[in-house]
Amino acid sequence: MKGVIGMDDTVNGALPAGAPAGADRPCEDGTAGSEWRRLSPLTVQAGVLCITLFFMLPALGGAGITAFFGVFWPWGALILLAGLLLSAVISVSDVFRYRLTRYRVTAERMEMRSGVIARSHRSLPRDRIRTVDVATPLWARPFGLCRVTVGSGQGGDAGDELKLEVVSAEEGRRLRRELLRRSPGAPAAAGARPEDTAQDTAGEPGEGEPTVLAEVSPRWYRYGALSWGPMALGYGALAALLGTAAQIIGDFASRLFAPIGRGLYEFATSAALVAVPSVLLGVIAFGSAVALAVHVEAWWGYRLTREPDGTLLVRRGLLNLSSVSIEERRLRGVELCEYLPLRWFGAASVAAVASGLGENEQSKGLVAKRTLSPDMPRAEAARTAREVLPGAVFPELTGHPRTALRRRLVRAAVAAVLLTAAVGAPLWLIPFVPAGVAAGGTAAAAALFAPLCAAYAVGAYRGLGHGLDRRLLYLRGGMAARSTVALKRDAVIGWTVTRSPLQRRAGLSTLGATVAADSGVHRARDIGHSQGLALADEAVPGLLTPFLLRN
Amino acid sequence: MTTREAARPATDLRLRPPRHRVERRAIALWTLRALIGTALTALPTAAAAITLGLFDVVPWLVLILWAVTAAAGAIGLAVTAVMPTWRYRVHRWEVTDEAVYTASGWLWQEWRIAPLSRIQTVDTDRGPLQRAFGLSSLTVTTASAAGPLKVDGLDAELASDLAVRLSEATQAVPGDAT
Repeated sequence: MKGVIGMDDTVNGALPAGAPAGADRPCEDGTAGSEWRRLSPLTVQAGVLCITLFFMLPALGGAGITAFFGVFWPWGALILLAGLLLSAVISVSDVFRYRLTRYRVTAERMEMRSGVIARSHRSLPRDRIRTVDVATPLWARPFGLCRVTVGSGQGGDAGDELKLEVVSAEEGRRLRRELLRRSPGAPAAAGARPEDTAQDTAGEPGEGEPTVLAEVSPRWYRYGALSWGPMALGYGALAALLGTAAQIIGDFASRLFAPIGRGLYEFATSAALVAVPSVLLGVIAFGSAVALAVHVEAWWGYRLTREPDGTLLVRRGLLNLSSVSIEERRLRGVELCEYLPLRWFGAASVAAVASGLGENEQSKGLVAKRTLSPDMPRAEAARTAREVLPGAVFPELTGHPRTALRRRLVRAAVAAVLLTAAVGAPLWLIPFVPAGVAAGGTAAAAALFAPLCAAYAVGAYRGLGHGLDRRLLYLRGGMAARSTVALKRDAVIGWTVTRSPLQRRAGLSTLGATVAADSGVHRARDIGHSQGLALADEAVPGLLTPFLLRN
Repeated sequence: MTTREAARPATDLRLRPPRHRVERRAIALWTLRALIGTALTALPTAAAAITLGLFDVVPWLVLILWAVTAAAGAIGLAVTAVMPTWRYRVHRWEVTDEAVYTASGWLWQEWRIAPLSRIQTVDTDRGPLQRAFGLSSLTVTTASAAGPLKVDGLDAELASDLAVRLSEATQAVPGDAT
C-alpha cells in the first residue's frame, strides 16, 4: 500500500485549499472529487500561534524572573532566544508539512501524500474504510478546524489509518459524509450501484434526519467519580502532585522549616484518629473531583445518533470535541459493560463490537473508540444497546456447570493462602515482632482475605452465562469487569475450543466465537464441554455439525 | 443458514478429532526444537556459572546458578521426552468443502474451525529446521483478529498443494471475507 507512485500533475498546481470537486474525472453521482486537496491553510496560522504561545509564554516568564532577580542579563536573553528558535523550527516544519501534504478521494480509494524528508504515498481502498473520526482538539477550536482520522482496521491492524491534521470543520463533515456514504444494505463490491439497491430507500444518502438513540442526562455525570478511566487519572494526578510536593519539601523546606515540619509531624501522630481519616477523605475528595471533571469533559453533550447514511455517530466533549462514526454494516454486536464499583450503583455502559476501531491501540486517550455511551443507569444502557442492535434484549442467560464454580473456589483458596502468606511471612520473619502479634496478624489477614476471595469466586461464577435467541448469541463473563456481549449469529466466522488439563478432567472447555472485529474472539470460559458444543452448533447451524460426535 | 434445530440435543456431544494426522517426521522436528530450546535456556546460566567458577568468586552464587541450570535442563529434557509424541497424538487437520478444522497443543489443547468462505490468506512457512525434515507449516488467516489457524508438521508438497487448493476455494467467494 505504501511507496511512492509516479508523480501526479495535479500536485504541482497550486490548488486553493478546499477547492471544489474536480471536473476532469467526475463520478456518476458527481460528488466524489478526484483532485488533490490540501489541508486547511489555517493549519499554519493556528500551528504557529499555538506553538509560539506554548514556547514563548514560559520563555518570557523565565526571562522576566531572571530580570526580576537581577541575574546576569544574557541568561534571560538566552532563554528568549531558545524559545524563539524552538518556535521557529517547529513552525517551519509545520509549514513544510502543510505544503507537502495532499489528499484526495476518488471513486475507489482515498489517497494521501505526506512527509517532508521521507515522502510517503498511502492509499486506502474505500470499501475498506470502516471509520471516519472527526475530532476537534481544544487548540483547533477557535480556528474552526478539526482532525480527521480515516481507519480501515483490517484484521485488527491499527496501523492502517490516514490522519488529516487539520482541515476545516466543514471539510471534515464533508469527508465523513462522502467516505461513509453507502446504502446500508448495499454490498461494497464494485459494480453495485446505489440505484440497484433501491429497496432500502430509508437509507438513501443525504435524506432523512438522524435518529437520536441516546442523549446525555446531567444525572449520569456523577458516575464519573467511580468510573475506571477517570478514576485512574484523578488518583494518578493526586499521586503526581503529592510526589512533586514531597520532593519540593524534601529539597528546600526540610532545612528551613524543619522545626515546623517536626511540629506538624508530632501533631499528626498525636491526632492520628482525626488526621488519618481527614487525609483519606481529602485524597478521596480530590481524586473524585478530578475524575468527575475528566469524565464531564469527555462526555459533555454526548449524543448517539443513527445517521441516514447507515452509520452510528457518537458525539461528545466539552473542550475537546470528538465524534466517531461506526458503519453499521461493520457492527458485529454490542457489549453491555458493567464494571465493578459502578455495578453496585446500577450503572452500565455500552460498547460496539465492530472492526476497524483500532482497539489494540492503547494510547487513544480516555475513551476507547468502541465506547458508545458513558456510564448510565443499567436500564438506559440496555435500551441504548437495543436501539443500536435491534433485537438485543439481553434475556436471562444459562449458567455454566457447578464444576466451573469449584475451579473458581480452588483458585480463590490459593489466592487467599498466597495473600495471607504475603502478609504473615514478614511478620514472622522480622525478629522483634512478638509471636503473638505475628500469629494475630496472620489470622486477621486470613480472616480478611478468605471471605473476600470466596465472594469474588462466587461472583465470577455467577457472572458466567450464555444464551441464544433468533439472531444473537449472548456471552457473559467477568467479575470486576463484567460484560455481556451480544453477537450477531451470522457474524460468527469460526469457533475455537481450548481445554487445559484441569478443564479436561472437569468436563469443561473454553468456547471462543471468532468474530471479524478488533476483539477477535469472544469467549465463554468454563462452559460445559458438551453444552458449549451444542451452543456453537445451534448458533451457527452446519459449521460444526460434521465434526461432532453424539452418544 | 436460516434453518434452526428444533430442540437442543440432550445427548452428550464431543468433537471428533480431525481426519488427518501430521507427518510422523514432525516428532523428530519437535524433539530437535525442544532440545535446542532446552540448550538455549540452560546455556546462559551454565556459562555464567563456569565463568564465575573460573575466577573463584562468590561460590554460593555459582551453586545457585548450577541449580538453576540443572532445573532448566531437567524441565527441558522432560518436555523433550513427553511433548513430541503427545503433540503428534493431538495435532490433526482436516479440510472439507465448507471448513478448515485443526487440533493442536499438548497440555493445553485447542480445536479451531473456520469456514472456507471466511478465509483471507493462506501461507506456507518453511524454516531451516523444517526444510531439513521436508516439512512445512500451513497458516490460514481469517478476517478475525483472533490469529490464524496453523498446522505444523505437514509434508512440504502436501502443504503447498493445500495452500493452492484453499486459495482457489477462497477466491471463488467474493467480498473481503468479513
